[in-house]
Amino acid sequence: MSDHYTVLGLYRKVETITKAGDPIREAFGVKDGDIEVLSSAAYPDGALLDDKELLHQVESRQFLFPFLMGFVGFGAGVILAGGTGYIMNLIVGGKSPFTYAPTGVITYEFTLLFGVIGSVLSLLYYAGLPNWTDRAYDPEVADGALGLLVKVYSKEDQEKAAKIMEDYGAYKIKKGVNDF
Amino acid sequence: MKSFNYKKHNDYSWSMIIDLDRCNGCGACVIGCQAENNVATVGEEEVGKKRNMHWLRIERYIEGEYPHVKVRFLPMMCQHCAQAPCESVCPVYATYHNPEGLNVQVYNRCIGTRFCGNNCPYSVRYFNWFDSSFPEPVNNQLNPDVSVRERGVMEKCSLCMQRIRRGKDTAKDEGREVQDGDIQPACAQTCPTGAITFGNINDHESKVYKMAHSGRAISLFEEKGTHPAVKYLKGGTNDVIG
Amino acid sequence: MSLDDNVKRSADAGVAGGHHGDVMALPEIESFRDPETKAAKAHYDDADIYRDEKGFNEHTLRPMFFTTKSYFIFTLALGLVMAQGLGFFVYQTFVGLGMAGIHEPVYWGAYIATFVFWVGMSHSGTIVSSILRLTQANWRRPILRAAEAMTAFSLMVAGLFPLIHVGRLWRAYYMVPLPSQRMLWPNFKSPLMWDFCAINIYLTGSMTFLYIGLLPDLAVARDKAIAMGNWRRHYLKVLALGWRGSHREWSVYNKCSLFLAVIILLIAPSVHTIVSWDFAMTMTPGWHTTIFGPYFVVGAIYSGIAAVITLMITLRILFNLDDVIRKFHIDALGKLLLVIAIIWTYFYFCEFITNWYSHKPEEWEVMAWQGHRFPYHLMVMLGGSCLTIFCLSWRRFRSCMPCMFALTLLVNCGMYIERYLIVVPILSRRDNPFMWTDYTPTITEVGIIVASFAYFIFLYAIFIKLFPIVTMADVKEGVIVSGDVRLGRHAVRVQVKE
Repeated sequence: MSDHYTVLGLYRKVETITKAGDPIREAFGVKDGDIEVLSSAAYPDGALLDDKELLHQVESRQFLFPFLMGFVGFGAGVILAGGTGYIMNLIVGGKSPFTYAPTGVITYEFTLLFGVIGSVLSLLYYAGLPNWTDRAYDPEVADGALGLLVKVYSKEDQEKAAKIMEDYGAYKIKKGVNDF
Repeated sequence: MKSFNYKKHNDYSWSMIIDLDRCNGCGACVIGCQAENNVATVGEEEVGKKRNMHWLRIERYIEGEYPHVKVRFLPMMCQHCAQAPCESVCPVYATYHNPEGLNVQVYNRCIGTRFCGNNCPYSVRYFNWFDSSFPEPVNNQLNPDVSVRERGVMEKCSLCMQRIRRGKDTAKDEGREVQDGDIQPACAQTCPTGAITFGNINDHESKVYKMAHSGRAISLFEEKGTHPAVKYLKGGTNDVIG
Repeated sequence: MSLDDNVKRSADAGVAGGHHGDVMALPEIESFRDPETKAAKAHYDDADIYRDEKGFNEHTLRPMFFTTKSYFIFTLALGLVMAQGLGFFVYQTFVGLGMAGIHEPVYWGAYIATFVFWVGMSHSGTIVSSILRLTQANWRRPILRAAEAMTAFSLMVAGLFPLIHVGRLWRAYYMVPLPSQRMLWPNFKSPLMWDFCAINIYLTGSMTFLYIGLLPDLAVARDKAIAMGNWRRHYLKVLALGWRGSHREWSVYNKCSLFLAVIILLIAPSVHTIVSWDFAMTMTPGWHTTIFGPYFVVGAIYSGIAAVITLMITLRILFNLDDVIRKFHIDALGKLLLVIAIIWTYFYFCEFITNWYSHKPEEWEVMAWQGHRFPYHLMVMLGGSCLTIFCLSWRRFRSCMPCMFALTLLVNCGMYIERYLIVVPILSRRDNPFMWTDYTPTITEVGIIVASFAYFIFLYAIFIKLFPIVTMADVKEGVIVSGDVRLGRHAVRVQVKE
């Protein structure tokens, strides 16, 4: 695995960071996954960086996790409530051991439970969390600074990227190795 | 999948008939049941808090004013309903309907949520609020065929399941079916007037079958649709003489 | 981040990523921010308060990082109350449930009433976070975290009560549907099993919702804790999962929050409906009614929102969050409470009038007993709801903090009484008249129930010290997605909605 280099530039204003994104991309032919904007709050999609293709891909597939897990939950509910009723062949209250309505209730609950699990899994998978390694980050982002993080593959590119970011108004540059 | 009237296909379907005309409210059946089934005596204070543990209780309904008072006695115990409301609400299957038509209570499965007690329209289920105590020499009177329940379990009339078992075992040993009159629960055995009759209602020659089809037989709370196995014979009066 | 930046941000960025087309070129904005103008006083805005985000962060993280002595005293007092409850509970476990006042035929008493109350209280967070998030009501932003925490903790307290009221606590694991050596499964036809599943699933879901909502704020808190060298940095670092705030993380996070909001919204009414079916599935007269499902859900939302208001006012005063949780928020919550109060009163009236009109003997007996034995309780409950509807109609009342605090406490008292009146009088007058009786809770029950309230507050107090209590990320997002537009002579605040 070859090394990669990161440059993190911190900006104070939105208009400056939006202007810096495209030149960086053009200068290095950066793939969509290699450039990121760090912020302390959620900006509308595409507001800070033109990343629609990647985001759309992720978005359209993220829904599958809770959806498919919902089906797993459905099966789990039917097996649990209906199946155990079937194998525990006891008559209670004159009712048949397998009943539709109580099985339906339990199935509903379990479908939603697995939907919750699926949603969380989708977050962890697509956001690449948890990742406790020392990654390129600056605590000032939490205080309102906006960070533009780019991943390049050579030291010269790193210097060039840092220069471009400064030109576009970054007030602080951090460079790193293998910490994208 | 069995339907609720599957018992018709089985050999035995236990039933009990209580003749209200003969019951004089003496309460001997209550004592007999308590002796046979190791039912705890909770003491005066606890009975005052309505925590008596009488599996079979005599309900008294008083009509009229003194001196023209009329009292009706109703021996009330678990009705062993075919569509028992108590069975389906137990979360752990501690109570279910056995193939012979009895509503059985499994003491060691019960975790004591008391939902069954709430759902019984006859209020015949009892809960062990404390451990039962049988100090010397009362513990010598305990029936070895019946368990002593610990605190936290529900209990109720089992139609003297231990006597049913013994009757069936004896019949099996002798290579025959159980005959009418072989098995008598403690209450039926003790009743001085013979108001309580027990038997197999699938046997068309049995006393309970004849009584159940006598025209006097009623079920309590019939409108609730519980289809109890215990029936009562109405009719006659219970005037206090004098 | 000054005001001008906010304004230009929305202009430059293109509203909602360009979905709504171009925003009109913004004219110069007059000093709408001048606090003296009437519009400014009445209107919701965060921008001029949080001129610098760093100050905002420190202000809202202050309750978490700085502890006063009175906090320790308060927590100790709560601990003592909990200890007495624990003592009663241990005694009850070893001596038997006879220590409680329940007896045949009132097999469920104050424990179950409290259980239903706590489950009902759990609807607070769901309504605030899910429904308000989905309807994009902007005023939800500061209160999300506190409400969601309330949901999680009231469920934790509610989950204790089935264990407390059960006769054989040491065998309660029989209810867990896992394959076992006994080869026995629990009875899924029983409403108590539906309860078991539903409450656990709701607890899991709301804990998840709480945690996912916490993620961005945990990152901020982590950064602060590392900078301060605070002991909290150890667990904050782990729990923040290495969150950086990259746009990819935010996009995925928003979608996940949306899924969770929808799913929790589906779970919550079903949970309380299932709890209501503990009663409605019986054949007890007075309980066996189809209205219980929606009635309980609305009652839960009612008490939940009232509890949220009580809590917000408490937090506001205790932690000096006057500028975060403003009168506007309490006003808006008050309006929501008014609507729910009307709906609840409607449901109660429906139930009452159907029982009263048809004069079925068994149901009539129950009602007569309720009126005979609990007249003052009924007055508090019904008077409380009518008073609520009347008072909440006035904006002046809704903006008055002490009034709202007192009223919402009264509402919750009324709702507790309502749960009690559902459980106890109906069981006192069951089918068999020979067994009719009365019920009074004993000191054991009272002690344990008071301890449950202390436990809830205790959990909350611990939570405030361990996690940020204000949803900082949402408030910041609210600032980002709003801007000002001039309409004629007025300057109007607008917000982006998806």
